This record gives sequence, C-alpha cells and structure tokens, in this order.
Amino acid sequence: MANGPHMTSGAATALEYILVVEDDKDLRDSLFEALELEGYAAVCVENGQAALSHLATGARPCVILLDLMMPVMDGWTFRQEMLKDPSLASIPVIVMTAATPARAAAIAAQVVIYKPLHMGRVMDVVQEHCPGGAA
Amino acid sequence: MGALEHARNREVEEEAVDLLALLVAQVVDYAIFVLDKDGCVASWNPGAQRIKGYATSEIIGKPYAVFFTEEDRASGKPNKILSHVQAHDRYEEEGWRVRKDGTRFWASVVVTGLHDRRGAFRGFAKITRDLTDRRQAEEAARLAAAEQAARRQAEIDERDMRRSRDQLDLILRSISEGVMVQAPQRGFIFANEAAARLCDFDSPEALLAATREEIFSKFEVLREDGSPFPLDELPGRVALQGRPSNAVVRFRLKRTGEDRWSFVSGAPVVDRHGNVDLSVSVFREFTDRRRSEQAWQFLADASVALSASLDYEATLKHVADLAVPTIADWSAVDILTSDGSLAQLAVAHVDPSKRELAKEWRRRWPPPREGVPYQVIRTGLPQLLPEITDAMIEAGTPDKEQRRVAFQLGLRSAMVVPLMAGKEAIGTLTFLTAESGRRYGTQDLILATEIGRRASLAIENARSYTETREAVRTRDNFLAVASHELRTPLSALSVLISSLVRAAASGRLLKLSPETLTQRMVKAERQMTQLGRLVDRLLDVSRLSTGDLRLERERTDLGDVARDVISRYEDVAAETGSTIELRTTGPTIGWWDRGRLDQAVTNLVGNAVKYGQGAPVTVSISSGTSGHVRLTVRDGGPGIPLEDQERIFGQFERSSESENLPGMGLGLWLARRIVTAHGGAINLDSVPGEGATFSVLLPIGAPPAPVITEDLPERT
Repeated sequence: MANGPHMTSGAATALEYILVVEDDKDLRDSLFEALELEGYAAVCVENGQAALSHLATGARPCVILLDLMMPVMDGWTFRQEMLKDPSLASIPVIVMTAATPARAAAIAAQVVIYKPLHMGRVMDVVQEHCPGGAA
Repeated sequence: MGALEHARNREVEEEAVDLLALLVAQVVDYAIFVLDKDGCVASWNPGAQRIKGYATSEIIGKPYAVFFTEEDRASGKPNKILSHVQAHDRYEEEGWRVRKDGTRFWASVVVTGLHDRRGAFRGFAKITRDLTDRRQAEEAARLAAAEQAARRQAEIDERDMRRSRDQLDLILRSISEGVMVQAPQRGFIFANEAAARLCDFDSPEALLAATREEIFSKFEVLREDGSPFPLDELPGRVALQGRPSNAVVRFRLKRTGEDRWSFVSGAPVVDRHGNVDLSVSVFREFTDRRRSEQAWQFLADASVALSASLDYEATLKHVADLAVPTIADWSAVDILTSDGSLAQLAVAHVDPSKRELAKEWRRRWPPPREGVPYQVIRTGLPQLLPEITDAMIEAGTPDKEQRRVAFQLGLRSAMVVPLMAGKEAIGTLTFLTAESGRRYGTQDLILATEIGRRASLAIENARSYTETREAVRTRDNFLAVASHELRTPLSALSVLISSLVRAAASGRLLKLSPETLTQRMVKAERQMTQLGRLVDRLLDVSRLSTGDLRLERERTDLGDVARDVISRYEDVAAETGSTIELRTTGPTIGWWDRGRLDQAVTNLVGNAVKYGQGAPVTVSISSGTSGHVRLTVRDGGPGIPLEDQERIFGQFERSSESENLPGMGLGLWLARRIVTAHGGAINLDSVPGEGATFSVLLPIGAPPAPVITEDLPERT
C-alpha cells in the first residue's frame, strides 16, 4: 500500500471515487482514511506523473484533490497535461495548497482550498462534485 | 639904460637863446617840442625823436593828438589839455602815450603856454619824459609782491588741501569698498587697498604704476552669466563720458582662476563748465556671498541627488558630476574594496575624453598606499593640498610617462575627503583643479567635507536600506517556507482530527473498530510530535541566524552518525524506489558535536533522497590525511546549475530547479554552519544532469578543555 495507489474496497467505488494527488505521505493517508470515514472511495497517488498514469488506465474520478508543490511532476504541470487531453479536461479539480494565493491562481481549478486543511471544508467542495458518496 | 648896456644885454640875451637852442637840440632824455596855437607840432628835438619814434620831417605840422591812445583821443583828451593850459598856463600828468610804431609808453608830461614879450599867446611848450622803465620796475615789484602773497596763499591752500586729501586718502584706504579714480587721457590716478586687492595687485602703488594693458591682463572681465564684459561698458569708462552707471562684474583672476564678484558703480566728477574731470569707480565685492550661495546651491543639488536614489553607486557618480565645474575641474569617487585597495567608482570632468584619460591613469598607475587617498582612509580626516607643486608631482610619479602626463594635466590644487560608515572610512571623494587654475582654501575644504558627510549618510541609508530589504526578504522567505513546512504536517493532523470529530457528530465513529480508532490516535500523536520537532528546528534556525553556534564536542564516530541518519531515511528512499548505500574506509572518529553533525548529515542525505529522483544515493566516509575525515553524499538527481551552486548554501535558498518542491531551503545553510563551526568545509561538485556530490571535510579536533571551576562562586 505504501508504494502504489490506494484503492478503497467499498461498494461505492465502482461508480464514484476521488483521486488524491499529494506527495506528503501522512497527509495522503489521513485524507484517504477521512474520506473513507465520510463514505467516499479514494485513490491516492504521490505526484502528477503517477496521477497521469492512473488516468491513462481510463479511470475517471468524480473529482481530483490536487496538491501543487510536488517532486517529479508538480500540480501545475499535471493540470496542463490534463487540459491537453479532452477526455480528462472536464474532470473537476480542487487544489489544496500551502502556496501563496498568487501562485495558486496560476492554475485553472474549480476551487482552491488552503492548507492546513479542515475536513469540513474538504467535504463541502467534494460533495458538490460527488453527491453520491455522502448518502 | 645906455645903448651899450642895451647892446651888451642884447648880446647876452642872444647868447642865452642860442645856448638854450643847443640845449634843446641836444637833450635826448626829454622830448622837448613846441605846439602852435592849434596844437600842431612846430618844433622837434632828438629826445622827442628817440622817445616818440618820429623823425622831425614826419611830425612837424601834425596834430599832437597822434601821441595819445585811441581811448584818450576818443574822449577828446588832447584838446581838453590844451584848453586847460590856455586857461591855467600849465598841465602836468603821467599817463599812457603812443609811439609811432603803436607801442605804448608811460609818460610824464608837462605842457605850458608860450607868450611873447608883449604877452600875446603864441603856442605850447611840451616836455615829455619816458617813464616806462620805472613804470615797469614798479609793476614788476608790485607783481612780485602779489606773487609772493599768492604763493604764500597757495602754500597755505596746498597744506590745507594736502591735509584734507590725506584725510580723504585715509578714509578711502580704510573702507572695504574698492575705489579707483581715473582722469581723461591720464588713466588711473587713484586706487585704494581694496581696489588693488580686487585687481590682484600687492598695493595701490603697484596698481597705479601699471599700464592699463598690464592691469587688464591680470583678469578676464565677465558679466554675471559668464559672458565677456565689453571694457568700454565698464561703469568707470561710462562715467568718463559723463554718465553714471552700475553693473555686476565678475573678475576672473588669471593667476588663480577664481572669480571675484563685484557690484561696480561709476560716477563722473565734472568741472563748472560741465567737462568731466574725473571718473570715480566704487567696487563692492560680494565674492564670499556669491561663493557661499554657490556652495549652498551645490550642497542643495548634491543633497537632492543623494536622496534621490538608494542606489548609492549611481548617486555618488551623480555627485561627482555635480561637482564639475562648480567646485572642481576633476572629481572622483573611490570606494574601499574587500582587499583594502581603493577602486574608482566614478570620475568626472567636463571633457569626456579627459574622463577616459583619468580611468586610463588609474588603471596604469594605481595610487600608492602611502599616498593621500590612503592617508585619508587611514585617518578618516580630510586633506587639503592648496598648491600642487612641481616637486610634489615629481615625488608622486616614479614613472616617467606618468610624470609627463601629470605635468600635462597641470594639476593645481586638491582636496580629498573621506566617506564614512560609522567610524570607518569606506571611500574618498577627490576634488582637483587644473585648467581653471583655482586654488582651494579652508572654506572649500569645509564645503567638501560637508559633501563627504552627506554622501556618507546617503551611503549608509542606501546600505541599511539594502540590508533591511535583504532582511525583509529573508524573513518573508522564512515565513513562506516555514508556513509551507508547517501547513502540510498540520494538514495531516487536522484532516485526521476533524474527520474524527465529524464522524463523532454524525454517529459514524461507532462504525470504527477500537483498533482502527487507536491506530488513528497514535498516528495523530506521532504527527504532533513531528510538528513539535519541526517547530524546534525552525526556532533553532532562527536562533542560529542571529547568534553563535555552540558546540558540545564528544568522541563521535561519523560512521555511526551516518548509519543512524540512513536508517531514518530508508523508508522514504524506498518510496521513490531509491536505496542508500554507506561506504566507510579507515577510522571515522573525531571530537565533534554529535547532535549537530546528525543534523548536517540528515540534511545532506534528506536532500539526496528528495532530489535524487529515485536514483541510488551513496554516502562515503574516509579518513583523510592530516587529521581529517571526509564524508561525501552523492545523488543521481538532476544536478545543480553552476550559477546556483554557491547560492543554495544561503538561508532560505533553494536551487531554481526545485522551485516547486517543498522544503525550507535551510538544510544546506544549516549544514554549512555546523561544518564551519567544527573548523571544516563543505563544498559541492555537480554537473547538471549528472547528479550532485556534497563533500564535508572535518578536522578530527580535540577533546574539550576541562572546565576550570576555581573562578566560579562556591555553591552554598
């Protein structure tokens, strides 16, 4: 589980899941567990490159929680790559960042939420795009 | 009386008449002649001819009125005299008569009536004596007396005049205004001390002895704006034409090149006929005021320039430019460099080609350490060289070519003032004169020193501004990095706790098994501990930024330290598919601060893992020669561009390549501080694309000296 994407085992995942792209292992694990507790399935990857590989399998998350500053491929680059592919461009993206608003503004995203994250705020924006999970 | 007696009497009588006739005929001192009843000349004698100039034949029968002056004739004097004689028988006078040639003579005249024996009136006898000589002698005596009296009066007058002239002279000499007097065709006839000084003469006498050409060769005469002043329009000259006038005149002394400013008024002195006798010029000099105005103007301009920008190099260049030509022909700014030599920051001259010459000069012949600029740097005191002599140039230019150029420049006077930062001189401002011939004095040095003082302030302002800006930038970096570093672990903790709180509120918490709940609580606790450690690290860095690093040396095996660090990073490395290998050669033990070395190695290994892109990381430790241990950490990452290699050791600095990677940018800064505190060195060898190798060279060191306790107060 440490090296690959996390997959939920719940029934909901067949239809709806959330893609988490975050390089910090602790945060990644916390988000996975918290989303699971909220009734959402999640797939977690540690950088943009891994996220693109995941999407290349044809998987389509209902929303992507995207960190910006990451090694290998950062959030900005990942977003650009996403927008180049019409089949990916429409997936909603929620940016989670500790960067300054000015730097975060340089990315085309539905919402930007600033770290430190609070689960209430995360769920508010997640539920807008993934109504099924909270049922 | 008998006939004989009568005859004898007659004889005697005739004899007497003959004798009388002879007498008359021979007398030359008296004009003795007879006029007939009508006043015409009837007889003439030699005396008459001598005195009056007429020959007998010329005058006989002519009216005697010809002997009178024009005025007498017009007034009818000749006839009046004759009438008087007819009535009173005699007339006598002294008066002017006229000779044949028209000249006058002073005559004593006696006219008597002539009667025959029967008493009948026959005519007039006239005796005239020429008294001109006597008259002239009398006249001469009178004149002599009058002259003597006049001379005496003149002497008195002159004494009075001299006294009043001396007084006037004294007054004119003592007043501060220059006074010069000129007379038509005669040039200057008076000048006082102030005028002589103004014209660059030693004394009024020297000025008055000089020709007009000599006087005007001493200076250029300029208008206020510096244009030539036509000499015919000078107030003194205008006054010679009878018109008073005023003007501001700038006398530029050719000897020193200095400008002397005067308000000049010229006034004519005319005689009673209205002709100009004299022209009086009064010079009120206001050079000092003008200089101080110029100095203030320069100070004001320089202050504006100095406060206009915080780029002090540009500012100092501007000040150097401003000084030319108001204050100097040349000006230069030199700044002390880290090797203790002076580097020329700016040089100014009105002529750009000369500026190049000065730069060339500095390049070829840098100033000697015992020279004036370095003296100013050493003492922090300004220096004034009022006169640069040939001997000084010769002594200061060991190089022949340099000497030739120095003489060619014709340097005259110099001032060098320090630029200070606190109590340290950090540079110099140099002002030089050459072609203007101007010589600096104390007043100029005061001004220059003030400029130096203000420039120093500007430099300090600029420097502290730069430092402050740097400090603010560092602080902002720190805050950005620290907040980023704290926000991510804080997010992990926050997400964990807030999700549990939400689950508790919604009743979902009960779905979790006690094991899962415990696991999450333990995780939260661990993250909290990590956060605490992170905060400690930030505080440590913030302390180290301002204070010294105190080492607690103990016997430490660097190999053990490396093994500990690697064990902590193996998991992280594995996550990126990387491995960390340790190689040791020889003893790796020294006297070091174990905790601090752990920090340093942690940062190096952490970086290698973070930037290594999954490539293996190699840590090597070997005992070097001469009591050193070397540790190298090699990664297979993208490497570090050459231009970043020094910068990344700065506080909050990261390679530009890692802009979007998390990290505080403190690791390398801290590592270097720790290594240098141990007396060691850290360096980087990296070729972009081929990874990076950080090398640490540590001296083995010595056990800490035993703590001496005698001086400590006894415990009670």
